[in-house]
Amino acid sequence: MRCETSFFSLTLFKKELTRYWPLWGVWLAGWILVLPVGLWNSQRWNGSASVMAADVKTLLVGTGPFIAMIAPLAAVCVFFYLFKPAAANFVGALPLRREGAFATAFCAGYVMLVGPLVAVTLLTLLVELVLGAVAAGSLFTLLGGCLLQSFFWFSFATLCCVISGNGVAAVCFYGIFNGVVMVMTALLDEVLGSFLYGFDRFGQQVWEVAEWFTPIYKMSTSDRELAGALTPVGRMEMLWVYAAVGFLMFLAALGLHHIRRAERAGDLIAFVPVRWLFLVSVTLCGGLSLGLLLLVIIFDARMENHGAPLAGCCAVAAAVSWYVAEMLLHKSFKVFRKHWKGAAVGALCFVVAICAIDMDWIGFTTWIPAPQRVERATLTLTGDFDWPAREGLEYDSQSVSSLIDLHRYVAQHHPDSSTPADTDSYYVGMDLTYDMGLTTQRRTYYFLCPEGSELEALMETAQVAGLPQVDVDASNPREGYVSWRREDETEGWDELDPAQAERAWKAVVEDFQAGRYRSDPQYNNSYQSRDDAIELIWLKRDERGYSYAEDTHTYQCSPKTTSMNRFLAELQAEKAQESQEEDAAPDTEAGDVPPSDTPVPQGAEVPLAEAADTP
Amino acid sequence: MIKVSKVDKYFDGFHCLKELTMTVPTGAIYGLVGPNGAGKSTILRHLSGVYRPDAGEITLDGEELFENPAVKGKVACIPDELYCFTSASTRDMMRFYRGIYPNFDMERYNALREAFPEVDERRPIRRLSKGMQKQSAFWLALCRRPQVLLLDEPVDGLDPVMRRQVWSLMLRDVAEYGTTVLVSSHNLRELEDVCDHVGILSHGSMMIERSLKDLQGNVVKMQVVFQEREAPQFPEEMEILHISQVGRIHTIIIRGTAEEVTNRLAVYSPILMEALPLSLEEIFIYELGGEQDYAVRDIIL
Repeated sequence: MRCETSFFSLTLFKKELTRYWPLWGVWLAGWILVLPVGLWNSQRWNGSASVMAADVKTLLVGTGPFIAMIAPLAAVCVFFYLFKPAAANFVGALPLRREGAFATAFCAGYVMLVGPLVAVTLLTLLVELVLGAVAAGSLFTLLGGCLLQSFFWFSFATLCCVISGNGVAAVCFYGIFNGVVMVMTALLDEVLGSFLYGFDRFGQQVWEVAEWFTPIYKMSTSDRELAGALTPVGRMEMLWVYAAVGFLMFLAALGLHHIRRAERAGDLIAFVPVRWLFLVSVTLCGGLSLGLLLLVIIFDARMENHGAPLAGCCAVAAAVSWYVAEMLLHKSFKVFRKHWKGAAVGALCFVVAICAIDMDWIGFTTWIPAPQRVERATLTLTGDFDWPAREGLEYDSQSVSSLIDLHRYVAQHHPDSSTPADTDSYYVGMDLTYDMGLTTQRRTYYFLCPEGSELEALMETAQVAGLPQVDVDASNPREGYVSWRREDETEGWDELDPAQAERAWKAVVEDFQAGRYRSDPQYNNSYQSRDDAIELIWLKRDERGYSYAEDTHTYQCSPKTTSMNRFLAELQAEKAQESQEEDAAPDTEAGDVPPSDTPVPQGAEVPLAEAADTP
Repeated sequence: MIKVSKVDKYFDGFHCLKELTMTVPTGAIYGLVGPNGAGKSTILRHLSGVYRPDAGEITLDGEELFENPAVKGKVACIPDELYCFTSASTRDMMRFYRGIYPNFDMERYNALREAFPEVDERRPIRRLSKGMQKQSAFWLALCRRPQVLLLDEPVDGLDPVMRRQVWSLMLRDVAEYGTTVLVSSHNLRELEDVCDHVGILSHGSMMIERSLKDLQGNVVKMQVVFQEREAPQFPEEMEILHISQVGRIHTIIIRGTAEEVTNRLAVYSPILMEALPLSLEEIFIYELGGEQDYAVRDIIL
């Protein structure tokens, strides 16, 4: 018997193709207009292989959404027997194995998608030959990319069709699965960020994973964005990955098709375990998304401090979602009495989960690491404060205690983050990362810091401890400049001869060794400047005698840096004396002007004697 | 021979078939009767290879039927709800079946064109009337030369002339090729004319299964006039299925052969006693009437 050993029915295959010719006919016509006709029109006057190659490559990015749209239609057509009981009985009674029916339908659907593409590729090649600008490589790259995409999308759609017993539902599932991960990630990020004090928003890695689970987005991403991702794969590599996933989906669909009961045709979900998964998923997604929507509509756009209303909104939304899911499953509106327990459990789960987040039952907010467990930590401070933002201040197990003190204060006191009532407070953004060997903990806080408060002092201590140590042996002091700018907005600069440069460096080392300050490498060798810094600039002269800044070192300038302040005061005094001597000499012009090719800071001199007297 | 052994089937927890066991001899015309919801269509779908039994076994000539293309190729089924491809005509479906069924007989297709003159083979089947669609289904089914023909309410929608025509064709197939016909119908008078075996299904299990001759010989309808107006008290061992009274005439449906029952009633010295054969419809009603929850009993009687 011809069908006994075969896993493929040519008769059914041909029947599928001839039945649905309008579908692949429209697909073919569209591609003909885009590729051969489009190329002919755009390139016939100035056809060149490179331009055509560029056009074809651009098409590869744009094809994803179109293939993604046509694939579920093809799948619903060829797997028609999964959706109607009469059709299921008809195909089930045919002398075919189930695998045979599946393989035949899958091949028919895939051929519907890729057959027109192959035909159009050959036609386009012909057009290119006529135009004398053949870009066969690009053309076949496009074809290969489309074949891979088609395989993924069609396998995806097939899996949805096998899981569902309703064509419309299968297409809906297909669309929902395409975006649900991204949407749920965003919602979860929003909820956790709003209610979990200190929660660090999902990082790039999480979003990238979400992107991979959102294939319609990922495949529509431009090549430039693809290259910038954390998992830098090229377009073809990405398509191969998706094709491999498509193969897994194909296998899953084949396995499910084998065990699928024919009597499930017409049901929303064809498998009992998936029905439970459907109920739970709809309740979870519906509860979270509708709950947030209700919260925004009923209460306020801002979610902070709305734990109880959010729990209520999500509970209502979860119960409604459960009932909707039951209605869809049972194709009846009369589900309220019979299924109230599930709705109640769903609502209760949401209340518990939101309470757990809002009241911090897991101890996330109050968690402070033990100093001895921290191997490494980093701190980034940003905000609209006067002192400079610090990025990536690093701590080891020795210096981390000041950071933990700051963290403890913030975690315990929850500094206000609302609008400042007066101008004596400023916003601070604080990102903490603790590396504790096997685990990494991150915290992010936004708060208002009153000037002169304990919090400000803790921040200052923490950032000083996080600055890197001065590399005493690294500098090579020689002639140059010193500039300073203080918090009281006094600033100035002076030239340094080699001897003065030696003394300046010595002052730096003394202050460092006395624990009075640390270096600030963020501004070293950069055009940025900070508001409370001393800059030491070592100059180097070229063979023509012109000097240029070879090396700059930036240090925090504060009343504590006594050695440096003393040096600056002495320097000031020496310069003043030199100036008087020059004034006394009739041929000498008042004031030295630094060479025009040197990076001279602007600003007036200020007396530093006061600073030198500061203990 | 079709053999169904202890087949169970559940639909969402509902026990539809309960250890159903039945045997259809080769070449028999087997009438499957039963009340609505008894499981007739369900067992036919099992026999056509659509449904997988949850338990038990279904074989055709000793071979498993489910997922066995070789066996399924010998079976043709005309379900109660017909299906054909959208806009497919009888001729289109013929081409499809010709490619699928190895025994498809093109000569028979051409020959049967005369038997179904009203069916326009080029017209989409969906555009045909219900009766025409049935005729088209019979035409296509008979061309497959099936060893087993499964029919679910087969002549529903056919006019009397066409019914006779269709039955005539099937009976000829049975006679010439030994085709086994399993037919489910509520038209018991019609089944009585064509079936040689009958199975009565109730609540998913087989109540009675035997040849029509045995079935009719095992239950008898007695019309009796006793000397007293009221009927005497009968002993419990007499299996009386039903008793009614009109005037002085008592109609008693009783299990047993006519001779046996006549002898047993003779002890009551009736004034008048006559044994009448039961129709299949009466057997169906009285046999099922014994079931406590069969509500039709009181309505009919």
